[in-house]
Amino acid sequence: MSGATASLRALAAVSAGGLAVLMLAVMAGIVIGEAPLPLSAVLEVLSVRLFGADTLLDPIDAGIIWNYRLPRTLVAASCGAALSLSGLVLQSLVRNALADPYLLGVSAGASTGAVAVTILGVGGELIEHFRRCLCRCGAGLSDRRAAGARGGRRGGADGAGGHRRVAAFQRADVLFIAKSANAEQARGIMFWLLGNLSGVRWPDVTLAVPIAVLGFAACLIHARALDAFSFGTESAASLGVPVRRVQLVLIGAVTLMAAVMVSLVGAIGFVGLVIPHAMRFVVGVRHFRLIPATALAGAVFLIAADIVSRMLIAGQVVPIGVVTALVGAPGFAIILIRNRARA
Amino acid sequence: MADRGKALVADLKSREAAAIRSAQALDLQDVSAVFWFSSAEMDIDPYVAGRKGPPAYMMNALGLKNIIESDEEWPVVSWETIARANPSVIVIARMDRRRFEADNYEKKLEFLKTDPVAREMEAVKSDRIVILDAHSMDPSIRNIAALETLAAALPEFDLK
Repeated sequence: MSGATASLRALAAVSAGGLAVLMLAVMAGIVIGEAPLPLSAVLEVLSVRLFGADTLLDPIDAGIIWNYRLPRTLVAASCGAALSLSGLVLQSLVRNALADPYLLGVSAGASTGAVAVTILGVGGELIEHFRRCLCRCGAGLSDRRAAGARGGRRGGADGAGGHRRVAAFQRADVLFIAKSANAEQARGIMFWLLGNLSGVRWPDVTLAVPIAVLGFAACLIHARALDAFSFGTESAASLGVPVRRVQLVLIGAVTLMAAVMVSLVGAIGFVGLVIPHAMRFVVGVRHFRLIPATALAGAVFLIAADIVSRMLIAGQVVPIGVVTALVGAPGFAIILIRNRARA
Repeated sequence: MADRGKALVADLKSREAAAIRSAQALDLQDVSAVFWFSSAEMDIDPYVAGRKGPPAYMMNALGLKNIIESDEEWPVVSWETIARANPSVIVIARMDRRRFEADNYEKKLEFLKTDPVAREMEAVKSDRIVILDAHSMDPSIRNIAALETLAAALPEFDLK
């Protein structure tokens, strides 16, 4: 009994610590920006908004803090958590260390839809983007599931080849469509290919945060099933995991998370690949720990990447996808080399 | 032919001088402006005029300070930076192109009036917004017509 209490207490302590880290990251995301705004101003705006205090702050400064930076940071956190969870779940489900929504082409599928909308001019409304993102993601994933099923029977490596071919094909789609664009269209498309958080406002938060929380819950509920999947679908089935149902739910959750995040901020690569691997290194392979750690690290990582993207070159915003790639591409290489060494 | 060309140049130069004179008569101090061309998505960082193109020439000629300090022709600058610079006048581009939602000048006006930060800018609150043809913001003889339109708008704005 006391053992259970102690582990509950440890769980509470770890959760509180994780939340504190997340809060600190969010604060950093609000304080650091192009225009220098003091911490005191940030605290004042937050207290005014949250507790209804009075303020003499300039409405523009207050607006920047409350309406630009806070939503942007919250969406960055949701997006980081959702994308890294998607990567983690895909890696476990298809037993492929290189699985990631960006590399597998879930995000690419979503960007293809978005880019097609931009250039071919098929509707312009956000809802249209959103619908297309979902459709493309769904289509992309079903291709991929077929490839995964084949690969599963023949062994992981072939499956991975199949995934990457589909992703490459979809990225080629994007490039094909992009080739028929002029310079200014191309600049608009960059948004979908490299990610952009500058247009994030409160309505985006009300979509991103619930989806990230929902996805997190869906993953956490299936933590034990995901452990079982590490030994392959047959072993999972023999351990009593309802394989089809779990696959359906988790792939649905991954698709939804990736689709929503891409529809809000464009495709941001490498988060889903590097964060889960880094966290396996830190907390081990059990999903009950791995899922919260991955979500937290992904959230903090993307907030940090957004800060770096704003500060790297003064007066200019580097696309956030470039920042994540700067970290992610070497990470990708390390994972590839380690995998080869093991094979 | 050559005479018609010379006459045209002379005409443009005198129109330019007249526009500049009318702006000088206002004795503008510390008046700033930004030219918003379009945005790839409605809410994201917009394309605005840098300090080397025709819009910069117009602002220089009329004594307006360009709040943008980039050497690019149409740099992408964040609304955060633009709002904090709080320009006295905002010039927006009107065009028939509808590639981006923000190509429509009415959408640009709607954004300025509804965005929680942009609507706090002095230029928006005092309705100091000038609409110019997008063509006239690229180098051509239309620049002079745009200069005149802008110069004619300034006296109504109660600028100090």
